[in-house]
Amino acid sequence: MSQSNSKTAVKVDRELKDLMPDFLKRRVEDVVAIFYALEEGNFETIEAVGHQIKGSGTAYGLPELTAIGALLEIEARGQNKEAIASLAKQISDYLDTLEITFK
Amino acid sequence: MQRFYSTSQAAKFCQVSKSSVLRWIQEGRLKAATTLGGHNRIQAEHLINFLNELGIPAFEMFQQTFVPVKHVLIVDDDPDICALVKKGLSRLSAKMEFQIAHDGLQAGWKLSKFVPDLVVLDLHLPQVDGYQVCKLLRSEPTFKNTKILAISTYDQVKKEKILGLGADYFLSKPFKLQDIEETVRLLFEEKKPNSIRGEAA
Repeated sequence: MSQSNSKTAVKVDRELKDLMPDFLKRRVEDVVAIFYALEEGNFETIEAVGHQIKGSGTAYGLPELTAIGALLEIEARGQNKEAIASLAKQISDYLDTLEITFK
Repeated sequence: MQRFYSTSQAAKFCQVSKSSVLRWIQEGRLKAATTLGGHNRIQAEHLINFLNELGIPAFEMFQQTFVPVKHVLIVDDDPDICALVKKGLSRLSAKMEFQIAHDGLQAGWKLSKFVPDLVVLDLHLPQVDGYQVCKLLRSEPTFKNTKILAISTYDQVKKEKILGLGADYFLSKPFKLQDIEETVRLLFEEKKPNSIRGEAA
């Protein structure tokens, strides 16, 4: 991975090309779901979302998401609202700057 | 497995013209049955024997048709993991049929309807978890030949527990497309995929 001009360039297995749009769409939905769950104090949902992101990020060639998902899971267990909001923003920023090329 | 072939299909597999196949049948060299409509139908075994007698190698396309379909049940509450597993296994063979369940109850329902060759089983599931699904599978003689590939984030306790319940292999998440493909290939070949991250029973 390399960063330039605020873009996060990532090379992903071309076999995943057709799966990637749905995967990214669901991560955007995850961010929304996390903020809703935060408002409701529903940490169980946030932990579940973190767990899923942790399990699938690397599989889709995006290990940064796996790392964020793992942290999200931990912070949800600790009910740490600030850290959770920060991690959700990190996911959002990451997705915004992501530039995928398929190899 | 397809049991009977038309003359056109046989010709395609043997890479000869349809008229050659018809001639083989007329000469009595290749056994064929006739349908009520007057069409020839060649039994797969007869076609293989005929090719063997002539020393004609079974061409790849023909061989592929004899690969039995593998039925796979993917059980994971994450649709992205289901899609990834399906993709990896589809690369392994075009002859795979998939059923998907997003929780243990759905898995139980599907298992009452068909007997899969392989269950790719997440452990962390809503309602009925993967351990219970594994217990169910191993308590029913119907599923004695069903392979169980447990998938979950790495945890030694989880791994030992599921292997103790009869899973054939534990593959830790996150895994890559190639990991799932290679693991299942080795499982179907009755080899223990020890070279891949994870551990066999």
